[in-house]
Amino acid sequence: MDFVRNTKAIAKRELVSYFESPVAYVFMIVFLMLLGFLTFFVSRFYEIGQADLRPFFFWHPWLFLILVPAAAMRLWAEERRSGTIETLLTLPVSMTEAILGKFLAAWIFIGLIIALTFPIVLTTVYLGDPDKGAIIGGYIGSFLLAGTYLAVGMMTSAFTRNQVISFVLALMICLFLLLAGWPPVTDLLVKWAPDWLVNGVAAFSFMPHYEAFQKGILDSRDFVYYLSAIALMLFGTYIVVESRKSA
Amino acid sequence: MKQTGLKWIWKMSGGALALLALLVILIALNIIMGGFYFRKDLTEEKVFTLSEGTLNLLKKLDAPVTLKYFFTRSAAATSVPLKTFARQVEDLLNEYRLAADGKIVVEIYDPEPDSDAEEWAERYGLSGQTLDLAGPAVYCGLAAVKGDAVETIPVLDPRSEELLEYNITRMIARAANPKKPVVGVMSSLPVMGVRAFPYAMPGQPRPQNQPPWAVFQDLGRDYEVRSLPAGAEHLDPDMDLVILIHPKNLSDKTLFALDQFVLRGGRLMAFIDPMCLCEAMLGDASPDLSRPFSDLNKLTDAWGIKYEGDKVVADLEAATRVRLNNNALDENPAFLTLRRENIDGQNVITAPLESLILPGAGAFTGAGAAELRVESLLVSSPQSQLVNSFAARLGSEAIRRDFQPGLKKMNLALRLHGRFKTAFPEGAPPAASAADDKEQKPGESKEEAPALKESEKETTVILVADADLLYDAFAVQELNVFGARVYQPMNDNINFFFNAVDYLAGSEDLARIRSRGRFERPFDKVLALQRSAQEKWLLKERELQSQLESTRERLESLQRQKDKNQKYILSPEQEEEINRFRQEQLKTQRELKQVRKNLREGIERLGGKVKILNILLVPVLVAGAGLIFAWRRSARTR
Repeated sequence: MDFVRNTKAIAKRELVSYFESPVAYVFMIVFLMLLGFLTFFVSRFYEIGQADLRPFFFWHPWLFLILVPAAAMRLWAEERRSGTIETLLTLPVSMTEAILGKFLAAWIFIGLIIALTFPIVLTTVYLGDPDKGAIIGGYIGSFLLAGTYLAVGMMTSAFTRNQVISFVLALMICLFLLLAGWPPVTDLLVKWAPDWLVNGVAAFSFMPHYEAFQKGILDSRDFVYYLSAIALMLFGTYIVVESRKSA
Repeated sequence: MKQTGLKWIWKMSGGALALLALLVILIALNIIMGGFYFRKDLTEEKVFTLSEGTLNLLKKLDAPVTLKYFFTRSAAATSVPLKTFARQVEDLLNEYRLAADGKIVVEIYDPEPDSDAEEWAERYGLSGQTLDLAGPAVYCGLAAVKGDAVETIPVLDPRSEELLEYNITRMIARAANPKKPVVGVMSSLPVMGVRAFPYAMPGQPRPQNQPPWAVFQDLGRDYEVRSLPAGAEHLDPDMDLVILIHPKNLSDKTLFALDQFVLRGGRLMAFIDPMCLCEAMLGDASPDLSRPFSDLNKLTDAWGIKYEGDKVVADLEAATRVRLNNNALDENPAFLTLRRENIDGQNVITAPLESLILPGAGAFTGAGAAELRVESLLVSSPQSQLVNSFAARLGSEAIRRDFQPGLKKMNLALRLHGRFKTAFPEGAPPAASAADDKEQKPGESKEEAPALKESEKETTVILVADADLLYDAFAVQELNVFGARVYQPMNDNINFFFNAVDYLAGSEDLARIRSRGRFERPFDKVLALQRSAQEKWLLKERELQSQLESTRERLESLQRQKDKNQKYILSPEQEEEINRFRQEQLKTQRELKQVRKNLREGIERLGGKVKILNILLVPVLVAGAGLIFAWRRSARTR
């Protein structure tokens, strides 16, 4: 019971701190405007004339690449730089609660930004007759993908006290996982790596799991994949923070 | 300090080990969960769930069918999108296995180079394709085996995912029932392809063979197709279905044979056409211009259905944008794009269809004879009218000029069901000449059976007032899938055809599966705007044209008033009138241009609003909320 209460308290504290910083608003505005711009001007959503949100969801993984590591970079790096991490760790909360609380707060924050794209759903319903199931699936997939990026960003944030390094590291890992299994990446690997390694790398790719959601299919395997990736990264964060604490 | 460092390294390596252990556990979990998964299909039409038709067909299986799926999973050259697709196929096969209650056995093979699996794949005729120069052949094909019967899908195409279930179910149905129904095809067009004489005249290009139309290539996979000569006077009673494509100038004897075929309970599907565009596209050197249309009036009159062979339906709401010879785009109302509102959503043949293209279609009228039940499968919108097919050939300008919508939907395709009456109450038509009689072979009896006056049992006839819809250029797109030539439907034309054929001659269950899911979800609002804009434009154009016309008439009457001597000299009134005419013409053209611009503006304005709303509205609100929050905080701290 304490676990839930403490996690909630930390998540709340973190979430409020997001909204106290002007950076959060800038994030939101930049993300929403960029997404709108890419959907309408690059993918030409209106001109194509189809009530299908795939051109919109297509951009999520690429925009998250910038937004999510940026939202995650301060999670631990800032605490370490300013020395508040010691205060946090002396509080009567466990490390797991602190990590989960921070993660949930950031995930809710990003989830809120995703939810703020609702005008495009209203627009599509107004203009035509979209498949609502595919839209719901797309949003669930997008939210899970953001959570996975976030967990990666959280781990890199724990590695370093420099936010920029954390950001760049997270971006690189996410980019790799996004592109893994895509022909340009596998082509590079095929030349020298054994088949099992190429297939192994490809199996970690984010994209195939994200695509199933966009079609409107909820598959337990995709959920298991995303949740495992999140669990792994959060555990990695735990190990790093714990080792730094004792160092 | 040193000790702390060591401790840290010890702790870190312990952590790394723990992380590795977790990674292994999670990978194992992912692999295990791969076997016990559940899927929820959120799509409206349940595109990714087995349909009722498939379930019915699986229920009817009397002995197990083994599905052997060959996919080269292990090759590194196999791309991730293909692997994702392969997973979907596997999932779908698994659904079949679960639904069939032991009647479907699924076997999955990875045909690595020089393996037994590869040998089997080759033996089943599945085609492996090398994706890069040195790489192994990649297979993605399926075979269904029941006893000695083997049916295959040599290459599964990731691009026609919507047809995946249909294709698999069809393959199972074929393997389960190896005897194919017989379909006769009679056509004045080279639908079954042309085998050209291989030698060219000196100086002439070498004649080329033409493959059968994609629809008919496909038809042969499920049905035994018999090509009937256009003048056939006897039809084998063992045929389940006769398909007529653009039946031109059929003799009374042929019509009588068709009439008797229907009365004996045979099923008939006819594609008759008032303006056959593909005839010209196929380069018919000597098209019969005196009678370019086809009809079956002799038969349909007896069934209570009227059809005017030289009239084409023009429909403003179903107009299609076509590219003209000069590369300009033109909204042609005689080139019909049918959407859901034009398609009967209740009939099993048309219910799953969504969009069809009928270039130059005719219309059927009449309620049908008393014993027949008549259902419209495809209709035009109320904004339609019959126009002369000659005018329709001149293009959309000519059609729009005198357009007066009939405000009534017109039937473009009908299904007639019940007991039919003969169109030859007097019995078999006499031979056209004595020579015809002499041609009769000695062993052949003159009448095979006494002529029937009425159907022996209920049967079904489908009439479609267009033949072009089956032509490749209007129905399919040719694609290359790992080197194999594959046809992908551009619209539901082919689905309509096969649903009807499956319904009439094959399994009704198959007709229920084809074309599930929607290819098209157009912005209805934009389409409606476009339509109303067009109507306004048409009105304005007509108004301005009539103004110009009256000025021209005034000019002519002035010319008539002059005496002979002055005929070639302009009177001052005439000069003034000509000036006025020119000015009015200029003004009219300017006004028309303005009207056209204004009409486009409606759609562009909506687009502009939509873009602003989506790109700026929420960010502005967020910025506002942020400012209020900051202001309140600073007020509190002050």
